[in-house]
Amino acid sequence: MNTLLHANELPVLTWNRFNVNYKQIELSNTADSKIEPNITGSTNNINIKDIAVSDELPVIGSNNKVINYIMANASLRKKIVVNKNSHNDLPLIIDLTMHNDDKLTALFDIILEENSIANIIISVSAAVKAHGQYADLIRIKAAAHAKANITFLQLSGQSSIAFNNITAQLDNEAHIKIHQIPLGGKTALASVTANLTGYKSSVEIYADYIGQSEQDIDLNYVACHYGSKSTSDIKMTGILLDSSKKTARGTIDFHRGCKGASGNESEYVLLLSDKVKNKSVPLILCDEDDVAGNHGAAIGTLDEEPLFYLKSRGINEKAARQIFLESTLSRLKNILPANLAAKIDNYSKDVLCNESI
Amino acid sequence: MPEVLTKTAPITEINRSLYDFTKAEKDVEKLSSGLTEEIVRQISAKKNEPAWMLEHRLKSLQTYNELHIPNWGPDISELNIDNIVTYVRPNTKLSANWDEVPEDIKDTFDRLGIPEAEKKALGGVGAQYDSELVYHNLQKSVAKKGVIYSGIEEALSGPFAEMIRKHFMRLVPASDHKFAALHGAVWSGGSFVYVPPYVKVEIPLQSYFRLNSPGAGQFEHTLIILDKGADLHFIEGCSAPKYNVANLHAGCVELFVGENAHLRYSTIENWSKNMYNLNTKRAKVEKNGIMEWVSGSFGSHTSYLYPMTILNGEYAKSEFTGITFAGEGQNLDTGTKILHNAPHTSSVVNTKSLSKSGGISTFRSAVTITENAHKSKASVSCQSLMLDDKSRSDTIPVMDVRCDDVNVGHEASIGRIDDDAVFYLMSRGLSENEAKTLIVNGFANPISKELPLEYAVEMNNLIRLEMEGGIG
Amino acid sequence: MSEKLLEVNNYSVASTDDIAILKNLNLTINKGETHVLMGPNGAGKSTFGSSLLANPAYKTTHGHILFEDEDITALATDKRAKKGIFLSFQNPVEIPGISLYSFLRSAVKNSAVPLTNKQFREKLNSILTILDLKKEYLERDLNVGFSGGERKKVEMLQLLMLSPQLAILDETDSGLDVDAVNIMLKGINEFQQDKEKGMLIISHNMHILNKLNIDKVHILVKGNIIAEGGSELINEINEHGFSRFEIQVGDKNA
Repeated sequence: MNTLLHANELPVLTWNRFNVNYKQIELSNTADSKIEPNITGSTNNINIKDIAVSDELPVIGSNNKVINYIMANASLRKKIVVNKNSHNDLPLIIDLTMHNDDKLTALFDIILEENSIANIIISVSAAVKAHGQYADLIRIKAAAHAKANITFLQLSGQSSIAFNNITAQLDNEAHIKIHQIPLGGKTALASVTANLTGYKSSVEIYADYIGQSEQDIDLNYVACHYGSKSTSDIKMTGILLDSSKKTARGTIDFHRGCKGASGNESEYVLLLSDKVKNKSVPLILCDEDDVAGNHGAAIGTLDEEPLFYLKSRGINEKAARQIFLESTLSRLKNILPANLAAKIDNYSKDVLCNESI
Repeated sequence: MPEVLTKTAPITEINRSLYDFTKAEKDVEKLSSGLTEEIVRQISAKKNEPAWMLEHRLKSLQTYNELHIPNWGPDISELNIDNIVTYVRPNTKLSANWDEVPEDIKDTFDRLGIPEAEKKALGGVGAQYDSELVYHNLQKSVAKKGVIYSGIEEALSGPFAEMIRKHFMRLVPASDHKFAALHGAVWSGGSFVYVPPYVKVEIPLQSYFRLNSPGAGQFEHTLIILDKGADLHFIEGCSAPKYNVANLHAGCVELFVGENAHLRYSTIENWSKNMYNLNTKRAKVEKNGIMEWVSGSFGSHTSYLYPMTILNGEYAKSEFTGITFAGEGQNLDTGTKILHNAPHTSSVVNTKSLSKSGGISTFRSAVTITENAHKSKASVSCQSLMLDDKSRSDTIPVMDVRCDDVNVGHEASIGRIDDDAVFYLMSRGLSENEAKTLIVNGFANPISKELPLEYAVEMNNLIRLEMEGGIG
Repeated sequence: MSEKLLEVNNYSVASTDDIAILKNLNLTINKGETHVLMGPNGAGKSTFGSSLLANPAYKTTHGHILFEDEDITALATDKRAKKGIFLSFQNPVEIPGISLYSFLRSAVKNSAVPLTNKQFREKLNSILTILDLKKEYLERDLNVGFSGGERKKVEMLQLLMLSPQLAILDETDSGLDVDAVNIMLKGINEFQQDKEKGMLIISHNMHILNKLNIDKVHILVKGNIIAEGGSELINEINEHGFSRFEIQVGDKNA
């Protein structure tokens, strides 16, 4: 008994033959496995409780069928409230560990009260070869002047599917930075829909991936500007190895009335195998004149000029590829606490070292 | 700068009536509206065409009935094919002598400046009025080189019949989309061009399409074949008066660019604002060939227009330069598709779009790099200008890369006219509208400089016309 | 062992589309020497520096390059680098996706004298201090968003970290303010301490040249070495420019 979903739907459709309008996935409806999160770090001014039906957040963005699926299946439901005016610089870490054949559906509501500051990291990981299914919906509501860093690290097993959805609603001068790191999984989906309703609200969305083997990575980012002077910045960076595939959709959507808003979107993809497949769909939708929207993408392999520069320092092509990988991994490790950085190290040792780069 | 300004004609001089005039329909032969097998058979019978063509038409009709209208793009639900007259034959036969063209039709093309342009700057002219060509002429110097430029129906029974059969709707099969199928079923009129090996046509050839009949469709087919090393510039112009009922244009352009050949295809489209322009254009470029598109979209109520280039031979190149200006009541969805299907191919796309007075302009593109296209390069740049806060502008590109040693770049930006630039010009004595018109012309300049002079002037006039009445 | 570090014999170079750039050059740099290559714009100075590292934009049409008596004319770029030739680029390339730190670590590992992690860190810290570079730069992507001056300093950082046998500095001082030029001079002096090493400076900034010990000056005009001499040539050019040499080439071509 599975549910067929059109995940990561493009806000405005285009030619069907390119297969980018959505990603069709099939998710299981069997009961979730029992998985308790390991919560560590800063909890003084942050209250965590189970979500009651009565205090559900208004659903924003994302596809209704996807939301219905998560609502119907989620066994893990946590509400994280960051108290008004509290500054929590140390990260709150929610670590989920899955075992072979596990299924987990999670719903997180993150409520950032006025003028609060928080740093929240959610990690889901499993043994390298594990089979399984992870799906979630993380709903963020940021009150005026709230600031938060939200990081999601996905290190699911190599034969599993992982589907990470984040929605965010931002009030006046709220600022949220969302970093998705979908490294694991045979099929890895990640999406963020940010509604910039507040004046001067701003969102930064970063995605980092390293496609390997037969991995299929599918990303969908949407920044909806409603508030005047709201800003968005979407940056997608990745490396594709072996026979991996990746589709990245990024949309900046300026709604009428978002005077003075600006949105930027950039994508950098390094292709390191002639069997990879890369699709990029960067949209700018504009219903307001007083805005500035920009997009830039560069897709390809190492150019001759940078390659000459690297070789002039004694680094050959093969070594150059290795440094690209190491640079990406070390950058990711630097933004994570030690125990999660160690997980990336293991992943790199178990998965990436075997790659024929 | 002041010199440029004094050359700017006063805005009131330009008038839409240059294009927007109608002619009474005298003695025309008109099939009933709608689309049935009976109508398709009638069109075919009138043309006395080869049997394979009737077969092709009927097959296309079947495909048409099987396909759905697109689930993406502008709304075309108001376009009801049952109300469209697919075939309107003017009261004349195709002529190579301007004097033989009936007065009312002659007057139409005179007012559009076609014969004058032919005298001055063109190597050949074709003029289509509703469903049929009414005039076709090729300068003797060009004809002497072996260049063929004639009505495509006429050519179907001549020495090039076999060549046409081998190319007709092979690039754009009826199954491509619903309106390609419609075209396949009811196509009528259009031109055929063949340029022999290594022949360089020094002056452009032009086709002009005029749709006069209300509620009618125009479905002309343009087939151009450039042999090895040939060189041609082809210009296409379109216009129609405005009626209160929907008109439909579902033409098809197929361009075959041979090895080392070079084709430039320029279009200034100014259909009236009740037109549904669902045109399909496609070029296939062989080794070392070069395809250049220059495309200006100003008219139509609704457009779906994405000239496609297939770079099929090594080192084939393409360049697409386009501008779209969507004003009141217009929803123009334009762009291009590029398919890199051979090593070392390269493509450059450069587009500008403008939206004003509630107009919607969408830039839609697709760049595909197949597994074969090693060492290929593609770059897309699109800039959009919003001229007020009532309009809309979307950018919807797709890049599909299946090869690693390539270089694909994309740049897009959207915004409005810089207030400082308007202030600067106004401080030098220009009115706000003059200042904005000047800035918009500057924005469009990279496109207009790609056009022959007369067309660049026409384009600037169209921009001025659109800007008329004040903005912001 | 010979005292010769670099020797080019009858060396001619053309662009990949067959336009001749360098014509029959002969030049020898001995160990412990610092040479200067000067010439007007477009003379081929940067081409010479870049071709010594086999830039694929150029091809050698004639002659040989000997490095420490070994013919390296056919060697690829990275192989020449590993032999100990270093080029400080006039316009260092931006490489997004590679952090300066990962790059340096990897480059040093690949060099003739790989360092242990500890040695690497110590050396790096001391050079950062000499060059007045902040540690934060190490985590940024290579040259991405660096100012002109920062890029030149990062080139010097790489030079000192890799300690090559021969350093070619292409307009290392251009676009720098006085303080930055002084820092570069410190870097060059540091490198010149080792008398086994050699240096070729491509420059037309007299300020930096006046403050260095120069063994030999070569004047390159339109792809030909038209004059050679000691540092007195620098003063002459300082006063009279290159016109005398350009006329000389004109005569030769006539």
